[in-house]
Amino acid sequence: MSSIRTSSADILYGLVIAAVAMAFFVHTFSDQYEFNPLIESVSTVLFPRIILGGIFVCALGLIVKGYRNKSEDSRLQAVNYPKVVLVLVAAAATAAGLWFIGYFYVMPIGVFATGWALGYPNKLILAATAISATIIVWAALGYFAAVTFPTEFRLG
Amino acid sequence: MWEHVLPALASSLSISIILTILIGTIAGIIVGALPGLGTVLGLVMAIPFTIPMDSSMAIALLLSIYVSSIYGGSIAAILINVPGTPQSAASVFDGYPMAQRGDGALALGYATIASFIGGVFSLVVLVFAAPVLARVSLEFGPIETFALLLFALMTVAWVSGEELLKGIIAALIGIFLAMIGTDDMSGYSRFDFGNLFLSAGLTIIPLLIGFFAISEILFQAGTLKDVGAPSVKGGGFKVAPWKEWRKRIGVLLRSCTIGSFIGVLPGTGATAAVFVSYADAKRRAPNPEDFGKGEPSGLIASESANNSVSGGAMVPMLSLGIPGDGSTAVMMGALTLHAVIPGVRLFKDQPDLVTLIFVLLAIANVFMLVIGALGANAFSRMLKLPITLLMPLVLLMSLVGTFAIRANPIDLIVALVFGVIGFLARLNRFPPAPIIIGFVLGKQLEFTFRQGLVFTDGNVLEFFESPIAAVLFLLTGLIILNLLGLGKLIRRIAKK
Repeated sequence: MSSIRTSSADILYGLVIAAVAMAFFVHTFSDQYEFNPLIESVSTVLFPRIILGGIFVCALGLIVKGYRNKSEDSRLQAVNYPKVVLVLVAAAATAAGLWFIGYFYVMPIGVFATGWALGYPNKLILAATAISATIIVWAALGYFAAVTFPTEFRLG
Repeated sequence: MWEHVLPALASSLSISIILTILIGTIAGIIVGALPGLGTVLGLVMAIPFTIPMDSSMAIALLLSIYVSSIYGGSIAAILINVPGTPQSAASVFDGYPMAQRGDGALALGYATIASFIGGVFSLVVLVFAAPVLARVSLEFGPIETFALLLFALMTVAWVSGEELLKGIIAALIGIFLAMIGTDDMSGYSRFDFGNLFLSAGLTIIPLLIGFFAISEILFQAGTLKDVGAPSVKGGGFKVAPWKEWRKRIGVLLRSCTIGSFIGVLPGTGATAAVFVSYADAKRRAPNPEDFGKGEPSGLIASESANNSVSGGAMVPMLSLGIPGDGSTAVMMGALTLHAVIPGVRLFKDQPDLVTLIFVLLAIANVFMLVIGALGANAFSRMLKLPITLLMPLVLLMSLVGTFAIRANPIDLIVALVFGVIGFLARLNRFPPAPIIIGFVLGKQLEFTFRQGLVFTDGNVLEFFESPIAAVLFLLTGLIILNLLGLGKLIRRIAKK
């Protein structure tokens, strides 16, 4: 598992947040937000500009803080990034499958795949849990509570 | 308000409401007891399923989960030395040593009864304080409301995490997210980039599910070391004799008071309350050296304080529309889905609903006591479920819940995207509560700001002419000065 220094993380996060905030800030000067005093008494982008400006300034502060703390050795929590990506892919595939294939086919596979990706050792119990949870949740919520479930097949 | 009590009681004692509270209590204790889930996640996962319910049932479900999940955290804290919720962090100090010496059932008895008393105490505070605060806030115009919301957000940013700067960034990002979509005042669509779904704005449920549920799954995936089941020390429920309780009435009442008071302050929440209460109990105890070794007073202080926050945190939520912590922010989002808008108008226009909320909270506390006592063994056994089996079930509920809002696949994408953002934010210790509270309050903050500008013909300096607003702006400024380190400088100069 790898971890990066907190100071480096602060600089990186600060740069990304500042860049995104600046991009949105520049966007507020585009034609679609042209101020029309006949329709509005206060510009619709005044408040967003204040907020985005605040985010930008604070992000710069985060970068400065990162540089000032460069000598410190504190680190972020160690994370197994490949495992995170694996679980994310399983979750995303389950979500996509939910929409295109339907709840009953995809959810048992998705729950099983996520549990397997997380490292649950007993595949038989995992499979049984996946199937029974799919049925129980549908029965309790879809049938009795009338919650909308994605059950249609949308591929092709 | 009192004239609505009997009708509220009558509607609360219907089979459907009682059944809903029962289910909510059991679900709340489970999510509270299982480490990695917690109050906010429990509420977030429950919200989509309240959509087909009427508002009374939805409120009953959410309140029962809220109250019982705070208590549920003590079960894990006592039996496996891991707090089930952050609010139960201090229960570990004395609860687990009690379980280790074979008094697990006694510890659970102390925790259950203390939680119940804390909950009832804070309900009394809520019943008397909320209407008073609501009447006071009637004097507030848009400028005062803007100042109050800004101060509340800065306070949340300050106390929610380890670093004020990250808390402020989180709060500002939350406010910005609220501005995506159609502007209610001008009708312009902002930051949608031509996308029809974004022009409708982000809805709170996928955001909450992403930030709390999916990010938790990713976080567990990345940091989990032990995939096995935890070792559980004992279980059961046993009530200590009256003479043991009589010795500790002072601790109980002081902790309830601390929890209720801290709960009222925006952003502070139960975690702060339990540590303050524990420290106070230890300081005043005739036997402080016994704290941390299985002294029941420590457990009582922690558990009564954390449950007494529940009513206190609802005071600003109901009376001012300002959530006291992350859990009440989630509840506020849920209430707005049912056209219940917390704030001063709620007391004026729907006093019967306010009374119903008070009655449901009382019933939820009673159910927590009864179910906690009767189900102690079952909940203890449930702790053996490994997190690697729970997280896939959380994913199932999250995806189903997200889809249930409006059957829109974009919500699934939003939940996943904010799941990743929430995971990255958590890694570098950005607190999630300010993002959510910023999102919940963002539109109102902007609306009151723009209204204020209209009233003052665009002159921002006139905002400071209101004494209430000026004081709140000053307090906000002090928080920001603290951020710049000027607080320390001023204290150093003052010392010289």
